[in-house]
Parts: sequence; structure tokens; C-alpha cells
Amino acid sequence: MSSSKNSGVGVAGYPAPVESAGQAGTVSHGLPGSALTRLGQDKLALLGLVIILAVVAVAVFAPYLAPNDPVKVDLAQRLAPPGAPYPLGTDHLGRCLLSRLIYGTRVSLATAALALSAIMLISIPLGTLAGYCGGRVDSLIMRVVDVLLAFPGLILALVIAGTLGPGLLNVMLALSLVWWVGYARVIRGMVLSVKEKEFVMAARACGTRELGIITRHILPNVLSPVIVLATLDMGKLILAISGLSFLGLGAQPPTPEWGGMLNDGRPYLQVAPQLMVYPGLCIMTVVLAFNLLGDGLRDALDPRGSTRISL
Amino acid sequence: MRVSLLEVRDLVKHYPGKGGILAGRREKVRAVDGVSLSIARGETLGLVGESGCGKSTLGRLVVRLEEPTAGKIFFAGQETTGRTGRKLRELRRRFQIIFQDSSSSLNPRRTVGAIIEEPLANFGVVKGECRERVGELLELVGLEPGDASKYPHEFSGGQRQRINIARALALQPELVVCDEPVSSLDVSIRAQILNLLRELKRRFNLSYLFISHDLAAVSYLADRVAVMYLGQIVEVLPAEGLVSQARHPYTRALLQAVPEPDPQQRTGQKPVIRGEPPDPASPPPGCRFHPRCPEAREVCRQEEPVLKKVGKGRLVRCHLS
Repeated sequence: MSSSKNSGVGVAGYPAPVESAGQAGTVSHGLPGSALTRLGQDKLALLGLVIILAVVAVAVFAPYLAPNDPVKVDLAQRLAPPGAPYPLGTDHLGRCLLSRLIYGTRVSLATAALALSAIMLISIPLGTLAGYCGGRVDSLIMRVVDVLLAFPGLILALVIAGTLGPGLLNVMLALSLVWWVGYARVIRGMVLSVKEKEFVMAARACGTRELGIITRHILPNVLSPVIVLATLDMGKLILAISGLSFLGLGAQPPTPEWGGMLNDGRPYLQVAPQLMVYPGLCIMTVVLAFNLLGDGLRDALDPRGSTRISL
Repeated sequence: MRVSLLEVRDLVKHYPGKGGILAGRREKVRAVDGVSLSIARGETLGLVGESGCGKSTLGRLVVRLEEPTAGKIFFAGQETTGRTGRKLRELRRRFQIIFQDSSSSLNPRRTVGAIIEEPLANFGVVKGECRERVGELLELVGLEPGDASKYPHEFSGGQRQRINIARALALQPELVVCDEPVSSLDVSIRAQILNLLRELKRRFNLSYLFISHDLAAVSYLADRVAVMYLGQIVEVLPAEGLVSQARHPYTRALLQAVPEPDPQQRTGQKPVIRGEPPDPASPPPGCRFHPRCPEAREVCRQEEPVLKKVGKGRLVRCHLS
């Protein structure tokens, strides 16, 4: 509380009591304290978070957790049932299924995270440019976005990945090229609303250059919600990468990747169903975890608050 | 005659109105429609009018946050209209603006120190010196130097407005446009901010363009008062004679709308003007105020009055005076 030098004098009919600090309050931050509290109360979201943390730990410590080399072929042990050296059995080339699943975590998470970074790298500058500059720049960028949005995303990614040739890098490229448009849209909208705020005008009035206005005043107020929302898309990206790998466009043998493992196991569904069941379960669990956390985050960030279904 | 610090000539600002390709011809919104005024060094000009009359737009035009459609602005004898880039930036440090909403005019993600430092850093003050100046400025507006490390949401509305004032004064400007600086504050805090503004004006010989719809606040601070209606100035008069000398029916109506705190002084009659101001996209013909004017006559409907001199420093735009 400040000690005001000027208090005490009434002006033109106004009383002049001491200023109170009571009205300090509702300024929007990326993830305000109340939102974190609300997230903490959401058990499903917490469950999602716990699963994600566990999966990340598995990915990081894969070499220590995996019982065998994930790419070592042991043709004598083809399609072995779960047992001693291979806890979940082996695939059609005699490779350890559990080890491949564990290393597959790395591939899935890393490719999805890299694709997400690429998406951010494309969408943040373009969305900001469109929103801030407006006019022709905006029209140009947004028409490109409209054209890309007019195609079904995954099909377009399929075409791009197919044209570029199979490989994880190409799949990431294809997905980034398709996926950035939605973000560009959202970022443009947020930039549009933030750039009309008075603190932006105040910065301009006190001589801040355009670049400074964008980096110091607009981006910090736009990015944190966008990044939070982007993490929700991790699940969808993992699913898309697995899908493309299943179709043979993504990870190439012998790289252990869940989608690719599903495809490898397909001919042996009747003799060794575990070859499809376990990778499928892995994909489902991780995607579900990201979706649960995502829904929780969205609810927590929504200022209207509690319309959640409680279990 | 004193050289005026700010001189505005026939300033016009039109915005493209609603409608578009499908709705046919677009009507322009004439936010500011031919305004001329001047402010002398050390003088405060109060600008009053209803919401939507264009007073905030005028304030933003003066500090070049908006581009005028037509007209010229001179600051200390130099034309600011038409200047861009570096040439404009050099002048910017000499005129600053304080906004109405004390919270949205402070970036929630920057500390108070960073906010006040920004104008200083923009004009090449070195880092160490900046910090010292920030402390001085905070003390100047009645806050603690230690508040520099806090974030805007840790302060009350009145304190935030003090931070805004500190930022505006950082560059030692000559003119400060105060765009309704106390309107969003509690009545109890208004007086403190008004006192602060008055003290700072005396201390630094500042000129203010004080925009408000609060006549009490305006008459407390201003030397002269300009009344705006629908994008035009309808009356200019000295602040002391505000009550006794007001001639324009609109000014008198505004004065009558001010609540009288003393019940003994209340006259009982309140012929407050009726209705909403007309759409600035299509102002009425003749005098713009005639549809709401209690004294409107035939001539008011036909001819548009001009702003004419009716005494020393007094201008009125009305057929009847």
C-alpha cells in the first residue's frame, strides 16, 4: 500500500479516503493459479498427467528398462509366446516385443514433439504476421490457410508423405505442413485482439518500435495459452504418425514404432494376437492420456469453469 | 499572443462504417469532423462530451496513434501530421498519453519496473540510469521504488493509474493527453489522481489535454473547456466561467446533468436532454444538436451553425447566441 502524498483533499464533491488495494485482481495469465487448482481437482486430468509422465520416463530410460535389443533378429524364436527371455513374446522375426514397445515410446513421443515444434515454428510467425500487419499480408496468408483447411488434413498429409517417400522425417514434414494452419488461425485471432489493447498503444506512444511491440507485448500474451493448447494435440499427432506408419509411410524397418508394429503383426493376428494387441494398447493409452489432460486443461482454462462431469 | 504548444487545424477522422459489399454503400463514421483547437504551454484544455462524440479519437490523433483523414497537427510549431518512422519518433517523447483503463494499459506479463523503463530504454537511457529514474518516477507518483519488481495485477486501480502516469512522465513530455484518466476509478480514488495530476502539472509546467465526461473533474483541472458533440466542437470557454457563461444549449444541459451534492442548492427542475446522440455516420442536417435541443428553431434545422467568437477566449457554435 502506497503512502499517497496527495490524499486528504476532497475535489469537487468527491470524498478522498485512503486508496484500497482491494481491487487488484483479474488479469489474465497463461495459466492462472485458480486454473491450476481446478486442474488439480480434476482426477481424470491428473490420471492423464501421471500416465504421460510415466510414458516419458519409459522413453528416457528405455535402454535400462528394455530386457533385450529391440532390433536383434532371432529367427529361431519367431512368434515365441510370452516367456522367459521375452516377457511379451517375439514378433515374426524373433525380436523382443516388450523391448520394441519400450523403444517405440521414444520414437512416437520424439516424432510427435518434433512435428509439434515444426508446427509452432511455422504457425507462430505466420499467424502473428497476418494478425499484426493485417491488410494484404493477412489476406495472402489466410487464403493459403483456407485452401489447406479445405482439404481433409490427414488425407493431404498422406499425399504429401507419399510424394516425399516413406520415412519418419517425411511424415513429420507432411504433418507439419498440414497441421500449422489451425494454429495460424488461432494465433492470428489472438494477435488481433491483443494488438488493440491499450498497453500496445501505450508502447507505441512511448516510442517502442514495431518489432519490440511484437516480441515484448504481443507474443508473451498470445503464446502461453497456445502452447498449452498445443500439448493437447500431442495425442492426435501420435495417432496420425502411427496411422501413417501403419500404412507404411512412416517408420521404416527395423525402427520400432507402434504403428509399424501393428502392421507387422497384422498377418499373424490369429496365431500371435499379442503382436497387435500390445502396440494397439500402447497407442490407445498414450492418446487417451493426452486427451484426458487436454480436456482437463481446456476446462481449467475456461473462465466459465465447472461444467465437468465428475466421476 | 503566446505561442501555442499544440495547434490542431480542421482535423478530420473518418472510419469505414458498417455494411460492405452486400449492404450497399458504406456510410463513413465521422468520429472527428473538422476540429480546430490550440493548447498553450502550461495550459490545460478540458475536452468534454458524451461517449461516442469523438473525444478519445481526437486524443489519439493528437499523439499520433491514429492517422487523421484530413487536417493538420502542429506541435511546438512543427507539423506532426505526415511524419512517419524516425522523424515521428523523435517528436513522440514530447507528447504522451494516459489511458482510461488503468489495467488494460499495463502489460500483465511485465513488471512495473520494465513498464516504466520501456520509454527510457527506447530513447537510449543506459540500464543503470534507467533503474534510478524508475525509482524516482515511482516516488514522484506516490509509490515505493521497491514496487518496480511487482506485476500490475498486484496493484489497485488507482495505483495502476499512478504507474501509467509514471510511464507517461518518464520522457519528461511537454504535453500529456489524459484520456478519461479517472473514469474507471472509484469515486474515492479519483480525487487523489486528480490532485496528483495537478501537482505534476505545476511542478513540470505540463500541458494537458484532459478528456472526460465528468464536468467536475474537468473544471477542477482545466483552464479552458472545449465541449464536443458528434465530432465537432460546439463551445469553448474558460473553466471559471463554465457555469455562468455557458451559452450552448448542449453545454448547459451537460451542466444540469451534474448532480448537486447540496440538497439546499437543488432546483428541482432537471430538463436533461432526451434521447441518444444521433448516428455519427449520418449526422442530422443543420445544427447537429437540433433534434435534442430544447430551444431548436426552424433555422437550426436548415443551416449548419459555425463556431463563432462571442467574447475573449469564448467560441460558440449556435444560431441562438
